[in-house]
Amino acid sequence: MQIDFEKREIQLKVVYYGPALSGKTTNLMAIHRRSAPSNRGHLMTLDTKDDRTLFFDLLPMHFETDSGLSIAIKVFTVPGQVIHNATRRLVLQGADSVAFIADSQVSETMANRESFMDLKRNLEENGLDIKGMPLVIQFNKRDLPNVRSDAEIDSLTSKGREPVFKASATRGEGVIETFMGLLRITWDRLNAWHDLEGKFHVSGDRIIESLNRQFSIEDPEA
Amino acid sequence: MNPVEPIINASLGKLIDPDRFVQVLNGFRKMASVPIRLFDTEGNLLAESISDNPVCEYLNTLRGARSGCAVIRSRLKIVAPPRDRDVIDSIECFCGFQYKIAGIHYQAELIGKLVFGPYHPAEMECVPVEQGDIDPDLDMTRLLDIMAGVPKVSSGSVEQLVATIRAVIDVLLLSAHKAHVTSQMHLATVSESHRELTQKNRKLEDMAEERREFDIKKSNFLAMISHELRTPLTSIIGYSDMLTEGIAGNLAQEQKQFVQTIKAKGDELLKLISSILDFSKVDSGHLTVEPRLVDVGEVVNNAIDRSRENADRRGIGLSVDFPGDLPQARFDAEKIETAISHLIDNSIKFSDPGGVVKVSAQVFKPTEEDGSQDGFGFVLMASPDMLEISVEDFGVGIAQTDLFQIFEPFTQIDESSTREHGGAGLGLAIVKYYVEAHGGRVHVKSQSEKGSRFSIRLPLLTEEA
Repeated sequence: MQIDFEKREIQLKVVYYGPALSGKTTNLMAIHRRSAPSNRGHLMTLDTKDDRTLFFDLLPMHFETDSGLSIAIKVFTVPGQVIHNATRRLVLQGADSVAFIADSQVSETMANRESFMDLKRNLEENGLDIKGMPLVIQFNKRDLPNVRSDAEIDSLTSKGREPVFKASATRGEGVIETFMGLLRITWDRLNAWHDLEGKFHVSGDRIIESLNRQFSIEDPEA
Repeated sequence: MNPVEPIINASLGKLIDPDRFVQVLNGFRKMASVPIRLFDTEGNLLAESISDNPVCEYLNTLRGARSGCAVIRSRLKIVAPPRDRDVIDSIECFCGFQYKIAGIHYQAELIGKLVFGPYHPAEMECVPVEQGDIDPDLDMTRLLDIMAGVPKVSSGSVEQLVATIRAVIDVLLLSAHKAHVTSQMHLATVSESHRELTQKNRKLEDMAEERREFDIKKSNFLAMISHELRTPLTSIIGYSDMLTEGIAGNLAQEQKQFVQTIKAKGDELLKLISSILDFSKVDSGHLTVEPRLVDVGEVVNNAIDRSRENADRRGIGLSVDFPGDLPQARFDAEKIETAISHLIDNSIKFSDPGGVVKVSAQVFKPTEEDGSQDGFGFVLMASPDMLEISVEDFGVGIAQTDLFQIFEPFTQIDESSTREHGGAGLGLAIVKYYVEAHGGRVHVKSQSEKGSRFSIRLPLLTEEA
């Protein structure tokens, strides 16, 4: 995080992590579609011919809140393929929070686990601890057959620590909820560390409300 | 590359954006009523302000005057500016109007020239042409009328104008120079970093290569030494077995006991060698887990079988308790079997003769502790069902203060030279590595002098990958 007191601006870096083909880039594309042109920059995506992210995606966003505080957010995705670990580690550097995009399909359970273990390793190698990292988990691809059941996810969620969201990124469902959930816990964690609310005389609730209003309700492609 | 390469190598036209500079010249033209032109050292016109002098417009309607104007224009184009920055040259038009020529210098080098004019000099007392001088149609009355309408400019004002525009150009050149030097510095820095990184990469590659060679040598050495140690050990164990069974003739009771001791120690040594080999694989990062669907009950039974002889020898009973309908699960059977076997051997080692070691297995719903080592990512790490394999003994137990270090490699609670129990302190470290490589956890509950219960908890994945 970078803070510019003079401009009343906070810059955040959030990273979308997860196994290959879990829908991280699709999440970013949906966020891009649902945000007002004035709030979003160019979505930079490097696509290879088989639709996998080669290096990473970057979506820069900028919000003016009612409190007069500007929030600039750089949203990154990492390449999920196992061989691109160096890129994943690099992208994770200086991250303020992580959204873990899991694939809901039963057959991908092991891939989700391995990717989460990979996230923990890469955080450790960057000198970060998963305990201190704001993290949300999204179970994507809820629209597909053979996915893990709602009851099962709910039961595990109730025993876990992180907020869990269900989504279908191709339909734009659950994407903004995940993003806003991530921003909420990111704000709370950074506020706990840096007393942002005291220093800027703002309320976290109002900031999140303000950001929430800036996303259109309807997905133009839904 | 020299990072501070002089800017003079670049042409004036590239340093000053001529299209935009026209606007600057037009501004000065309006303020001072003097047209301005900018040339490079080759005489190429780079920028020119509006020139709407009515005297020139009139004279250009006359053929004779037109050719005179052309001569002056070409002279202005080719004339060399004064090399001295303090000198301003003058050229006079046949009509008496003036041109001033000044050089543009940067770092003592001449890089272009400025031409000011034609302007109506305030110092001009009379028109140097007469009726019919230049062209038979020249109308002096009209010429004088037009001239009277053109504002006069003093040579002092023109000199001031020259100084001002030179100052503007100096600023532009300085900025361009700074940008140029900065970019050259950046390029040089990047190039230097690249060179440095390439050198470091080469060193690292060499080191990695050396390390690989060393690793290969180490692995070969371990494989060789293990073979060399195991071969005679197998013979020792095998022949001891045969002697005990009386194949070479009946042994006296005492002899039999001695041979059994030889075999027991041989078995211990074999396990120790196997542990060191297993740990060396983990330690070198070569641990690979090859999960496939296996029968859980079979894996547990195999592990028990591996330790049964050891238990019998120590007079420890092995009690087994697991439901007959244990499902199939996806894990690396060899690794998990080894892990269970280490736990059983550990329990046997720390049980008193006549004691019992209980091995049980069950499927249960996950608890918070099963998510991951630190409880994070539970929803991802846990599966709907978990498999728990427990090994419980009622031996010496472990003090709470010692529990934190029991999974550290080469660690024994009693490290004194007179300790009762042997071993390299690798068993539990291997168990932890193997179980965590499967995304599972090892739990331990223990009480001094009451016994210990070790549990391996693994996510029960029942699908093939």
